[in-house]
Amino acid sequence: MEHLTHEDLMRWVDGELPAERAASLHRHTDECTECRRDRAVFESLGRELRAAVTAPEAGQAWPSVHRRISRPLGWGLFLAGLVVWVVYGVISYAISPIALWEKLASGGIAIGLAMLLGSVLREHYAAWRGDPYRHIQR
Amino acid sequence: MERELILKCRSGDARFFEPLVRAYEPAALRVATGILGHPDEARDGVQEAFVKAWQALPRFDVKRRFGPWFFQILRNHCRDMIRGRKSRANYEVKDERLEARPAGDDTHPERARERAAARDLVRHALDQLGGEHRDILILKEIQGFRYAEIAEILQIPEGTVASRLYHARRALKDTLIALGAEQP
Repeated sequence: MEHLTHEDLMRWVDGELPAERAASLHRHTDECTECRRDRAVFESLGRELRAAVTAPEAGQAWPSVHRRISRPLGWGLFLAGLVVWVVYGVISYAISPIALWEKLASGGIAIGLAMLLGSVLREHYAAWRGDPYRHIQR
Repeated sequence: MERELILKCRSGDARFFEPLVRAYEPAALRVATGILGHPDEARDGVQEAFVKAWQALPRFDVKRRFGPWFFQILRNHCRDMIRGRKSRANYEVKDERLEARPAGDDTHPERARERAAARDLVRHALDQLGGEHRDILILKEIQGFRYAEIAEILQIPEGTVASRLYHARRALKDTLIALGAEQP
């Protein structure tokens, strides 16, 4: 007796046999104990697999996803506005009638603070990048 | 409906992404848990896959369906996570997995232990399969995708889905037997 091909067997197990093909195989699938046993084994494997995989409860993804996809836009707008104001402020300050030594002293303070802030932010960013659990909600 | 949501998302309005996330999250969690084996990692993987999908939306062909495209992203991301996990030699999952599993409704402790052992054995066998076999079993058995959907996700013909499923199921059965399980 010729048994089902692998493809037909799988389609039969999974209820994916086209109607015509199912009709033509009907006699064999009704009578062949070997094919029926194979089907029972594969169905049993499926049940065991489903029992072994327990997915966590859904409904928690959106807040985290939303935070992450909307943050870049917020940062982009904030930084764009900040850059415009900084450039405008620097130019206005540079062309203002204040003494040169005052401009140099203020510039030194501003640049020093920016460098300190930059290094702190860089350290935090490096620590965040190295954290494998950074995306998990705490 | 889905197409309209995607077009609105592409204009940058994140609010329209929420229905897609909520609709696909349960299936995504099942698939990710199946592939990764750990609920916390699955959550992490699903969130990251949604973020990646959002970032890739401008390149998404709106004539395609969102589902298969998203599950392609999810599967690739889960595989990357597994590769990353293998490169972190200190990864220990088994005990955490046991803790994370719900106790179930078995009131008889002996029976509950047997069931837990059987589940662990199947999980262990699944982890031992190659990625192609494991993934197709998850898509079919855990999520219950039709062959046409699996073909779209894995980018293979439907006939190949059937033959790969056959070999994956045989491989799982052989692995279970090799691990000492009773003949299914």
